[in-house]
Amino acid sequence: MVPPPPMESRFYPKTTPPSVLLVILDIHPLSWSLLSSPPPLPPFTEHPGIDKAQATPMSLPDFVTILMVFLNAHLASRWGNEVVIYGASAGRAKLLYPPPPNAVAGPSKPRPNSYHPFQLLDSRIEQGLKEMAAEEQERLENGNVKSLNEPPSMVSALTKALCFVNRIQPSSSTAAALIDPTSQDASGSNSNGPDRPETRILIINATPGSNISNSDQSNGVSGENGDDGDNNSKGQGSKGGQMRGGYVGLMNCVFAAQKAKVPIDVLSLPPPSIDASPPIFLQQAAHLTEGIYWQWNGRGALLQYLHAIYLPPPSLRHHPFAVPPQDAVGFRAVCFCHHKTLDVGFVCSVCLSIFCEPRSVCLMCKTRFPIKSIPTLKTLATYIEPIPVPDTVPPPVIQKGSKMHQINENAKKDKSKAVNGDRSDPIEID
Amino acid sequence: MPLDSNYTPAVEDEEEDDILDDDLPGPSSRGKKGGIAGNKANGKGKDPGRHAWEAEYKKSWDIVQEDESGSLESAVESLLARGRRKRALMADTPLRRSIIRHLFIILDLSESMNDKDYRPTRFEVILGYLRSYVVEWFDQNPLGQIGIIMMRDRLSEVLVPMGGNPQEILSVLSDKRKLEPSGEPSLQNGLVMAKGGMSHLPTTSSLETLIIFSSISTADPDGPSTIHTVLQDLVTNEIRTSIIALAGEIKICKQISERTGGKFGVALDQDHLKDLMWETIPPPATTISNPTTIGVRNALAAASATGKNGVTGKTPVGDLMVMGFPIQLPLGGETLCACHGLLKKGGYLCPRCGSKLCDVPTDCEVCGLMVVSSPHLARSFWFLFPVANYGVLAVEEVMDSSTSDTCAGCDVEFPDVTSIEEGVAQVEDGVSPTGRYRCAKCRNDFCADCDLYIHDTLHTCPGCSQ
Repeated sequence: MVPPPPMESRFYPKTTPPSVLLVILDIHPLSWSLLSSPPPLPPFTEHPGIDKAQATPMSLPDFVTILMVFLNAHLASRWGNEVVIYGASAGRAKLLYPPPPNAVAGPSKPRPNSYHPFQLLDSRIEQGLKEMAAEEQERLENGNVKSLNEPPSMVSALTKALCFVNRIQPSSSTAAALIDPTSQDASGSNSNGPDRPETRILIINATPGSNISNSDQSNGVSGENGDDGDNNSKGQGSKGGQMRGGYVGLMNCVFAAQKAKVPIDVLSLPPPSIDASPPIFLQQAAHLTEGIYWQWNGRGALLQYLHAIYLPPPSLRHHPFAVPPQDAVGFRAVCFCHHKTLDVGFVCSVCLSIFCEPRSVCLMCKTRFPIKSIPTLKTLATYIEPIPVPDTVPPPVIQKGSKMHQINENAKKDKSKAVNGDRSDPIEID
Repeated sequence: MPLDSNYTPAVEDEEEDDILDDDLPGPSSRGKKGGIAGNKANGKGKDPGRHAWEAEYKKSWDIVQEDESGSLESAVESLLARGRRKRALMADTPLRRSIIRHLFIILDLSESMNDKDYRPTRFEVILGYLRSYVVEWFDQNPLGQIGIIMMRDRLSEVLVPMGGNPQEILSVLSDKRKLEPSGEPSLQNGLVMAKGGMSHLPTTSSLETLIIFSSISTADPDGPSTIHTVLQDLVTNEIRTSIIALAGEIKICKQISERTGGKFGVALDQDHLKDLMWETIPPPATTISNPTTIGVRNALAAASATGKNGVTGKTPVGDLMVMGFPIQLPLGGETLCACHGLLKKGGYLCPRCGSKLCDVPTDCEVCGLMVVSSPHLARSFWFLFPVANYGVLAVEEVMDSSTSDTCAGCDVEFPDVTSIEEGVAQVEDGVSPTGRYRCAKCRNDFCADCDLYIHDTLHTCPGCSQ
């Protein structure tokens, strides 16, 4: 799964195709209120320079300014580059840029001192965000306060983005194969023409915890989980009930992106002080699609990070540029019964649905399991203790000789972090 | 059974006579195909007395009709409609499918593979299709394994042992020099080898063979066992055998696939061949009489206890397996792995005992937990949560209900409703005259492209998902 090193050429490519950048911006109001007043950071003893940097409060307007600079840089870096932006708020996703065709086109008149595409992009993003905020406001005023508890609809935004990708570069497997079934599609689909734009998706996550479902805090207290289960079932009722839409939907998106060879980059904004456990499903998504996952450390310099990590198109990432070292990925799954995140689960041998406890009948396919084996399975389940994800990204300064020691220390630290993370409360207002 | 053994030689004679008579199966197959296309278009066009090869030659391009303006748009749309119909069939299939599959592809590499009725040769066409077949198969059956056996010179040989790595298979399949067709095939040898290769596998996983049979005879070895005893073995071992014949229907092939619960098909032309092969990709629905699940491959720590209990009770169809979801380590330093005892980079951590494993899916060497990467499981989830087919919106409905102007998926603008003329908009089944398809759950409208993409690839409705 690790991206293979570029074997084919040690030369820099003469030109790269234009690239389309699809940004999914999490604008969940609760998450941003958390980000704008971050708790003080723990001391970072390994590197005194980093330790000097203070925790930076990051509000949405500040970040949007930074993002606009980044997007303008993307537009400017090659003729033909394009930007598409989706906003994901509580339970809904919307296209922010490019504007819908019937909308009023851009600002009233172009300013003479600015590059027109920049101006168009900036004004339209601003306008789109304001519209979306107004809609949220309206929703709240209509007494729909509960809706704010929904996680940001990343999956909806992702599906929209993938549909968009499919429209600008139809995959040969569906439409083309239908029209011309004799074509040797396997070989044809892989060949990227020189002018075929590269696409990539950048998810900017602001919600702490994995935002796939409310109850992702792994191994939480049972009462808490029960509550979350209720919340979810209510949500499903109103949604018309695609069960476990979050996890299953995200995974489906990941596979579709894999098929279309679209990397999903993830920038997770909540620093470790807010959010000890990384959004593991977004991390999985980035890992599986060979995208870049990176978590902000809460110490400013976001624009620099954006430029250094996410600006190069996929074809240039590994050579001549480099990607940041990717951390260990926990391939956990969500159970279908209580939406818990699992290290070890019980899987139906017929339909492969995942459960967190032994049961006599499969919920999905109604297969009966041997009842007598349940006690043994139950005892098995009690032996399981989660193993913390080891902190494997090397610290900035490593003295030779003390390497192993440090790694051990990190692992310990991570363990304690994970324990804290488990207790952190889900966002909830009433 | 004795009746059959008497019958077999006669069949072969007959088949050979047929071939000698009209010497190439190509034209006759074209005729058949035309007939089928005709049936689809408008009723049955041929009288029952005539054989397919006596029918008039039908040109495949005749079914594509230009519309008044001379464009092919309507023809393309009808093709799309055909795709939608197929999908409607898919959605109704049962939920219970065997997802852990083991498949041997038995490839006939006899001299008949050099026939030129498929362009450029049968051999090239089959190899090309097999390559995309393997990719697609692993896409839909991530927990499955494929092996390839080839039959030539009356011998069978394992080309690729059973394994779960498509790259390995593809690299073997791309080496044409090793696959030069020659001699005659021996169906019996091929089947015996496939059976031997799967004998160690548990009965919970679906054991299958796919035979691509190009010649019209099989040269089996003399001896006490005949192909009929092999067939009996296949039936008792529940090995589902599907056979795709390129030349013609052969009695023994049909019999084998019927008795083992597989499919038998004679490819009429390249498209049909592809259809037949692709039909075997989705996991087969398991029948109720599926074997009991004793001593499953899951290395449950208490496997023995489970097994004993399983036998006595009413035979359960499924089993609950304990699976662990590992942590993948980045390619940092080298550490010792538990499975080989070698220094390796990367690897996976067993979630229960924390030992490092080289690859998943596997059983943990230390604690016996079955370690599976959760994305592997998640690949099959779209069988469990299929997206309901979208409804077609008529012009009036769009006029009535206030709907958005853009597709809820790709945000492309829909064609203006008022400009659609009633006469031109042909209401062919499955194709929306307004270009809009509505999800029944979230009441969002989608364009035809997104509809296809969502149902074929994405398997998630943008409106219904969070």
